[in-house]
Amino acid sequence: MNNSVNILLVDDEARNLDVLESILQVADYRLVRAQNADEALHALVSESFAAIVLDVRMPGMTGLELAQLIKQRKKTQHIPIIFLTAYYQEDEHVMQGYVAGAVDYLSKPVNPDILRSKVAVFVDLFRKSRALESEIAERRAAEQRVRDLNDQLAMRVTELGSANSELEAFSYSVSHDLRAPLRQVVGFANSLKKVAGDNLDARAAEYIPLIQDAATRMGRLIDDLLEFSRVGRTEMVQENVNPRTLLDQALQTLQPGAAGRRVEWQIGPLPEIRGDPAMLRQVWANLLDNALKFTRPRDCARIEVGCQSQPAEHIFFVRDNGVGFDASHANKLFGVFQRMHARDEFEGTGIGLASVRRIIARHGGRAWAESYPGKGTTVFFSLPRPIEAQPAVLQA
Amino acid sequence: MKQLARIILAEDDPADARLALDTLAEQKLDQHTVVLADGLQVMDYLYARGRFRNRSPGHPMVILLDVKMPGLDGLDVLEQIRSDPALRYIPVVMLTASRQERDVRRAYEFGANGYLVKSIDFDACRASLLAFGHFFAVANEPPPGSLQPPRTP
Repeated sequence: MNNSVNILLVDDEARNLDVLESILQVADYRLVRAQNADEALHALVSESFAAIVLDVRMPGMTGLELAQLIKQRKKTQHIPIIFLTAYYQEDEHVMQGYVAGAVDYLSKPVNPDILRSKVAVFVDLFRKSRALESEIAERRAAEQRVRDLNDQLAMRVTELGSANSELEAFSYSVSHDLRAPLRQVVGFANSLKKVAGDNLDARAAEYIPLIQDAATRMGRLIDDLLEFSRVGRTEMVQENVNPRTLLDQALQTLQPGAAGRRVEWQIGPLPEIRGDPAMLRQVWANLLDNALKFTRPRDCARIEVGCQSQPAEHIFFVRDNGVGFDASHANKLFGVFQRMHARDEFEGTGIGLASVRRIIARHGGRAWAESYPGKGTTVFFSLPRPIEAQPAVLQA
Repeated sequence: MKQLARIILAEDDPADARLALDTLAEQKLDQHTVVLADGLQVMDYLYARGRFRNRSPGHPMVILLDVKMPGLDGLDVLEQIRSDPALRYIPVVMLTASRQERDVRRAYEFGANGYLVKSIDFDACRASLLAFGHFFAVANEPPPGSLQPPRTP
């Protein structure tokens, strides 16, 4: 930015102007000369000035009349004026009639140091207000950018909202319409069994439950897929939750499936976390359900639940002594419809861990697994620690 | 003159209607059931107009109402029934594939007397339909003006 400032010098005597010029010869002042009011006004119209040094007594329009004009015009009214007068006694009261600060006066002959310092004060003021103006302009532009971004954001939110409700409508109609034919397949297979009864030969009779199983499984897949998509879309609540309480609630729904089995539970202390209780309960339910399922061949299932706390996050784990799987497939484990075992060995649609990863990701954490075939599996998931609970000094 | 049915089954899916009738047949209630494919037909039947103008007078004992039907859907029909003083006391049970809490709540807000879910599990479906038939079309004392259940002296 050009840092030079304009200063207007007005005097009818060219010699006086020369003197003023020589006094105010400073590198970054641009001195503009005017020998009468007309020239001065002309200069004021075309450029902006930091200050005006104005001779009071001039033929034609006097300096005082010119000053009045300058103060009346909006564009120039804030330009400070330094009056020069040889008749201080006569002009004093008139000059004092101007607003203090914007106007000053010096008596002739001019003391160069005083003139220089008075002009320097006004130049400084001018520069500061110019800097302030550009700062204000910048700030306005920044505000405008923020407003634009906010508008864009609001638009995106609206778009997202309508995409979301479209998805909602879609999954609603999927749950209704996709399931109806399956229900009918199961139903009519049942009717067939009843109507045909003993007329079916043994082989034909075997097909009926196969038809029903297949349709029922398809129904379960649809239900699970809907559940998986719901987990990604529903709004989350954030509250302090006790993981142990959620775990116990999840266990209650699973216990009937484990009835009659020997299961050795080992549940360590679990720290309080922040998150959505329903979703986190679902995480426990899916992990414990898997642990129970894959330890089924064991005489005594051992299931361990615990937590290793790090400075920034809690790492929870569920460890079992079940059948395990080949760890080279571990990354596939959390995909949708990924199964590690034959269907006639272990039931399930392959959605459980995909839901777990999705829920944990929505809480800002990660989920992963370690496994050894024949020895067992450990599934880990991390959750960020609540900020206020983070220790100020990290322990080595 | 056509006999008034004890049960109105409003169901637009013929396969679902057939399965429901097959189940009701186990209690010989199929012959007391009229199947209507949409909400307008239900209203025509209730007001004995159009092709039902010759039916014998009175109200059915119960209406089993599919929520999702083309045109006038189940909730629309329920709303019309509840807003007509002549019809408002007829028991209505909703029939739907949705177990979503929002749908269940809406049905009861509109004044449903019951809510049956068309489950993928056929045995569960059959059991609840049999229980429905026995309760509403045999055991229940319907509001005055309805067809009366058969009495054993």
